[in-house]
Amino acid sequence: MVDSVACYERDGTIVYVNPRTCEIFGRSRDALEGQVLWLVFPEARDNAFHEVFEHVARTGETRRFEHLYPPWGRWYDNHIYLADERVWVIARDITHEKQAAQRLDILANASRVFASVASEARTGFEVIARHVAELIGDMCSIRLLSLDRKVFDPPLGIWDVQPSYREMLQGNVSIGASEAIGPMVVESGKPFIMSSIDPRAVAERIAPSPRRDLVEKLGIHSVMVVPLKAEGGVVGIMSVCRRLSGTRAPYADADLKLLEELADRAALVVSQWRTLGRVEDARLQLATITDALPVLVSLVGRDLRYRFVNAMYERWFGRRREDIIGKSLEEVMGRDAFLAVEKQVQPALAGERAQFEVRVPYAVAGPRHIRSTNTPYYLEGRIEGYIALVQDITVEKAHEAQLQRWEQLFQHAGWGVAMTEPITHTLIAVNPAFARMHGYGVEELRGRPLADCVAPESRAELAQHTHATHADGHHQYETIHLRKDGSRFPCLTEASAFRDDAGKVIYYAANFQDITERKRYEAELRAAIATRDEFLSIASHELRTPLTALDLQLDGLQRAFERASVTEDRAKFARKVAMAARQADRLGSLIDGLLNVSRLEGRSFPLELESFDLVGLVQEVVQRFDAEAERSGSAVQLHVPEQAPGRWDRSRLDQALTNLLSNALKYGGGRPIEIRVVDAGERVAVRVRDQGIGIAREDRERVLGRFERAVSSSHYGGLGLGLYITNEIAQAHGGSIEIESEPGQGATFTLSLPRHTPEKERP
Amino acid sequence: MTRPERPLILVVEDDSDIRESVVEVLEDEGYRVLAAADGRQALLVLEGLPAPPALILLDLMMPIMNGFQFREEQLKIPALAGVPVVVVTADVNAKNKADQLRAAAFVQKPLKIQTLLDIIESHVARA
Repeated sequence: MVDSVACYERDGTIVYVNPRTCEIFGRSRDALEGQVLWLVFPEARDNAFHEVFEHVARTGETRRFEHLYPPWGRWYDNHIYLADERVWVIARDITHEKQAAQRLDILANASRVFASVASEARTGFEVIARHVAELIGDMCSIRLLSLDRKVFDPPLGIWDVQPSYREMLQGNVSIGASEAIGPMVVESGKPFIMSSIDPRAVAERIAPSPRRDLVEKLGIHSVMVVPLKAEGGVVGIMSVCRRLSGTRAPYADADLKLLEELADRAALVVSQWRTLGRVEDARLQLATITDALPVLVSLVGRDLRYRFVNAMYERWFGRRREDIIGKSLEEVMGRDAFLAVEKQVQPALAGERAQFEVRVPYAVAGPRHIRSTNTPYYLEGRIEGYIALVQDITVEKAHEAQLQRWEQLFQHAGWGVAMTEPITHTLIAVNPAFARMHGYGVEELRGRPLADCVAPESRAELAQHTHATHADGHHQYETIHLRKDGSRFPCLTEASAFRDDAGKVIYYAANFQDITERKRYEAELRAAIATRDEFLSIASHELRTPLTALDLQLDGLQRAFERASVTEDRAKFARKVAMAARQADRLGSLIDGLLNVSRLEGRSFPLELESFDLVGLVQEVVQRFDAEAERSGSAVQLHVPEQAPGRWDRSRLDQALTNLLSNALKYGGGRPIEIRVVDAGERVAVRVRDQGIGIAREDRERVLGRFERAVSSSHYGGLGLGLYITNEIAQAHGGSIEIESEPGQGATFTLSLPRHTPEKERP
Repeated sequence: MTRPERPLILVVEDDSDIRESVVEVLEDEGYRVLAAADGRQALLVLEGLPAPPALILLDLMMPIMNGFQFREEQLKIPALAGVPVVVVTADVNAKNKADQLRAAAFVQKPLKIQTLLDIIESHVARA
């Protein structure tokens, strides 16, 4: 471009201007030549140019300098010298060079400023806004889009070079160019500039009506809004404006370029700040999440020092996490605890994810059972440590141990235990005892209905019992159960309903007891009680009979004494005394018999075995009954071999034979009685046959049996203790008593004995 | 020992010692006495009598035919149904049994002679 050339008189009168100068001055040569420069452009008088001009005109020294001519906002490289008494001014417009350099300075400086504030985030933007405002505008604001990109957040930074305006703006964050223009700039990504316009128009253009007056009051004549581009998109806007009251010229395109450059640099800061924000957010999230976990979470470095710990660590070790991070495992958990886990952390450091359970004697938290999962922590391909997730399973372990004990109890219980599903009543679980008592394997039963284990005739009952269990929560009942092989057994069941928190039955559990034995004991007990009652009834009758006779005789004696002379009734007295004596004998033998019975009941029936001839004993007993046989009118016929030797308890057999013979005489009806001894090798038998009243078939076995099986007391016909005792004696010898009889046809009692009584025949 | 009236008493008792003792005592007291060892014998004895006895002393537990069965049979025979029966028993529920049998009275074994005689006398006199 052609330089401007002008020639002046020393007083400033324009002598010559070239066309370029005319261009710059904006006047024609005619309008300029002959005029005094300071009069044409009064504002030039207070300028550095005027000063240098005067100096050159006065001294004749040549000057070269650069200066900004504010009214035009342009830079000139002036060469002023005196020649022929005239002042020559050769000026070159260096505005562009100047601006470029200045821009570089500004940008370099801005970069430095911005970089220094990047890490300070929010307050940093205030610094940026201030810097930009001072550089190219009276006011600057920086606003970012909200995360959803719909609205602008309050300005991150806002600055006005005028303190009064600054206060107003900072107190009223909504003021700015953003409302109307911001969205447009964000939308298009293109800068916006308005320059040299009526403040009212500006206000109308950039602000919606409620704040228009305020904006108008600011007296803005120039506005620039540029996008802040970061991360591949528009993240906000930077706006600057100049006011009428300010000293600056309206914005030019160059200003816009500069602002864009500044915005780019500011955007970098935004981007950096956002990244930092995200890092901080991530850190916070991590802390929040890990703090919420009911486990110990830590990152441990290769050096076995904590890099990160969650809140649980604070609770466990009773110190703040700042006090844990950087410390070694040993320092934090205590030496013993460290020794317990030292080896276990090695796999993770070798790149292997490892899980282990161990009991750790923590110094602070006390001994705990933990389950730890250690995952290697890689950074740029290198194992930098491991991440440990430590669960406290102390309670779990205790429960587990408890559960194991219950499980053992369940598995080894003598009683059957089973759980059933509440709707289908199928077996969920059974223990071995339950399976065993029903003849199944445990696995066979699972999933089968409980009813399969109950006798078909009891199943309706089972439903009622289940209903009762449901209603009462607990129910005890007896049913007949069914084994796999179809056999049955009585079973005592104690069932309980187990409910969830809402009261819904989740399962039934019951224990089952095979009460066959108990039932038998009960029957035996009942029988024993009946035996005792029957025995007492018979015994009292037996005892009262001779007592009655004895009483009568003694009473008779007394009366005879009272009313008659003794000598007169000698024979009568003798008879009465003899009878009384006989009754006393009867009572004596009855008592002996009772004592024997008690001994039998006590199961202590010792036999005193000796070798003797049974025929001899039979003859002896028969002889003893001679008198009684005579009295009853029954003749006793004896059929015996030469001898029948053997080994028995002599006095017991004497008792047995006595009983048999006395019975025969009592019920023999005065007809002959036959006694036969049969020696048949290994066995010897004594047969006593009478021809008396006989015994009904149903009574035959009973008369030998225990009392509850004997004839009922109301039908008792004097078949007393004798036969029972006799039977017991026979059995003690390993022998037996057999009866053949028909009512009215007499009876035959056969006492059958092994020749040699086995030792310890009875338990 | 010669009274103008000698009332007849039938003693039914299976135990010979008791039976003999009672018979002896009653005879001593001046009664005419017949004895039977069980209910069937007693019925046979009664059948053979020209007139019913003044009283029957009846044991309850006897072989062949017990006291209950005898009483049943006795009540079936119009000539005998009115004969008062005194139950002699060792049963602890003697009174109950006597009521069941619609007996005139009962005597508990072991028996006292005076008690027995008093009861017999009161019933015989009434007859």
